[in-house]
Amino acid sequence: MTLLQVQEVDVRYKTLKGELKAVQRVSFDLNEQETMGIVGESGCGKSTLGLALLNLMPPQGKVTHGKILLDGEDILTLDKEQLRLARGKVVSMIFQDPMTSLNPVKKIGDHFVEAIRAHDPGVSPKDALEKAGKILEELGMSSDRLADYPHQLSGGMKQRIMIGLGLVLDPKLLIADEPTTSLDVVIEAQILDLLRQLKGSLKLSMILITHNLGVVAEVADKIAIMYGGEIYELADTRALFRNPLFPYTQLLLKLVPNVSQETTSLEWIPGSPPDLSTPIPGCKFAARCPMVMEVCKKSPPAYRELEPGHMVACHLYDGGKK
Amino acid sequence: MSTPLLQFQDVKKHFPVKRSFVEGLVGVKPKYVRAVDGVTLSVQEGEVFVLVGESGSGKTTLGKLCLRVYVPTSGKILFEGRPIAGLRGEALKKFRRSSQMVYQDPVAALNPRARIGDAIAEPLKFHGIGSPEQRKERAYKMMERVGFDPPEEFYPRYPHELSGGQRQRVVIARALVLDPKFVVADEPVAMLDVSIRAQILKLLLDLKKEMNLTLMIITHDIAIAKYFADHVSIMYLGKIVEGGERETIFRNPMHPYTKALFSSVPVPDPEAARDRMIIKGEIPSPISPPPGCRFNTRCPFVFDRCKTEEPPLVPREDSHLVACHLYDKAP
Repeated sequence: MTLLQVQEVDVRYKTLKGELKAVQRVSFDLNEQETMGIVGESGCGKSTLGLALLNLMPPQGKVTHGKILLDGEDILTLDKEQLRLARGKVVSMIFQDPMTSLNPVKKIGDHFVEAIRAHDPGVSPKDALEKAGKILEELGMSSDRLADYPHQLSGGMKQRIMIGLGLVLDPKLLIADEPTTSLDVVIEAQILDLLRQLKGSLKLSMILITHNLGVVAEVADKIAIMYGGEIYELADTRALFRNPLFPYTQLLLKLVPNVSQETTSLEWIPGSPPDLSTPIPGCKFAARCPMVMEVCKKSPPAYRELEPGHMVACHLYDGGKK
Repeated sequence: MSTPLLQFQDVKKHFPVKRSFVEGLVGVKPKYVRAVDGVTLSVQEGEVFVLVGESGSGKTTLGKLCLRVYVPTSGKILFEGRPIAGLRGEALKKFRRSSQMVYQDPVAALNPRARIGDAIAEPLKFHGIGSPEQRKERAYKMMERVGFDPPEEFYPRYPHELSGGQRQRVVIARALVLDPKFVVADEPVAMLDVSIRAQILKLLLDLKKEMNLTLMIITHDIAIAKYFADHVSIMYLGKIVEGGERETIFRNPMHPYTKALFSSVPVPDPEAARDRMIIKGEIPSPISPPPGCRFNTRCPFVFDRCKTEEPPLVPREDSHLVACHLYDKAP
């Protein structure tokens, strides 16, 4: 069953320098109980895409084209009230920075009560707290923590709380934007392990937004590679790691340090990500691509299915796969 | 072996925790954060010494102790064989010239209203080196070395006009413009994108070779140790738990904490076996570290002795130092 269909979505920001095309012609489907990773560098539009999926755009940003169908309903056409219900009940988001996402003057329990009662005012605060306690225990924390303030918790615990708040309304889809980036490796491993468990026990679909291919390799079923606001490659996780097609993906894979491997040389991608406030006529990666051809600078490559389920946009494969 | 460039001898740094007025009145005992709690180590001249630890392990405090930003509560720190605590006047100024720091966050480390060229020339001015023209010349040279080409074009730019990677190059140039002997880089790439991290680390390493530096890299990222270290030390809650040559540590990590750290790193391979060793819980508070071995609250191999007796950091193979009771049982 398809849960989420994203069709040719464009997102633009108004800036002082003019319009910035943060996301361009992004399309993908997500099935129920499927986990997708969206991977890219800072500024590639991955967080903006995450916000667009919840129609949570900041005032200067706007989805200018496309459809986002959640359970068949286009969330871009919902009115405020319908949207409020959809957020939380159907989709929940976990933000990058747990330190700034919690209200420092409210107890952890109050955060839960507020989230639950905002969607169902009929629930008494006592019942809401009880439910929150159960969720905390599921996340490996003591329910005593509900009486604590955010500053009394460590970064890892705050991130667990954020995940808990995301789960409190039993959503079908959880969007997590860099859920482990501000955490230490040991805690990162704990949180990833937790997400993996939840995926199984709660039958959740998840979208994991990250810059770290290592993180999604372990959790995601499929992976989209974003660059300059567009998805350039999308494939099943195994296929993507075994047979990356887009040159950027190939380079990304080489520069993820692998502690368990013998090699001790590290590669990098020369240059820096493109400036999206000026239009780029061809492929956005052309300026940094080691395999760049004349055509790449002039016309954007078509996004097509090169192998079943393996999408790529690259002129290298204009004549089919070599 | 020659004298190490830098030596720590049972160094401790405790920070007092503020007592409230009432606590002071009723005589509550002052508490201390034991950020660094008895560290002995030596950094050899010309090596890349990588110190790995989680947040709260005391690794940044240790870095600042190296440069006498902090003065230790007890213990001795020797630089070129001389205790740095006693340095005064000219000798202290000389020490400050020969040891420098590269900070984690280039946005915070640079004055947004200073042109980057001036920022790089600033340390020369501070130490009264050369005329303004000579300083500018040296700044140009340094900028060229860190990859600003042509330097004249970048000199008048402001930090906000640069990318994250370029800003970190400025911070590196500023640290190296005085031609130091010893550089501490505290999480030099943690704020940068994955695609340029390797580039900046490689630059640091190239400069290290060109300028005969001794480099201490402080990081939470084991991969950095894997790719760049000569010597690796692992820190946990104010103590070094394991240390040795890179090959030794990666071939045969012995301390359970080191093992857990290694297996926590996400592997970019979906087909890799997932036999991870995930340790439970979090790093305890350095105000009241657990008695015995500090890792005993999270260690999967804990036994009675760990809870009462602190394991010393002793050599287990050649120069492989490990602080763990597990290896006392084996012959």
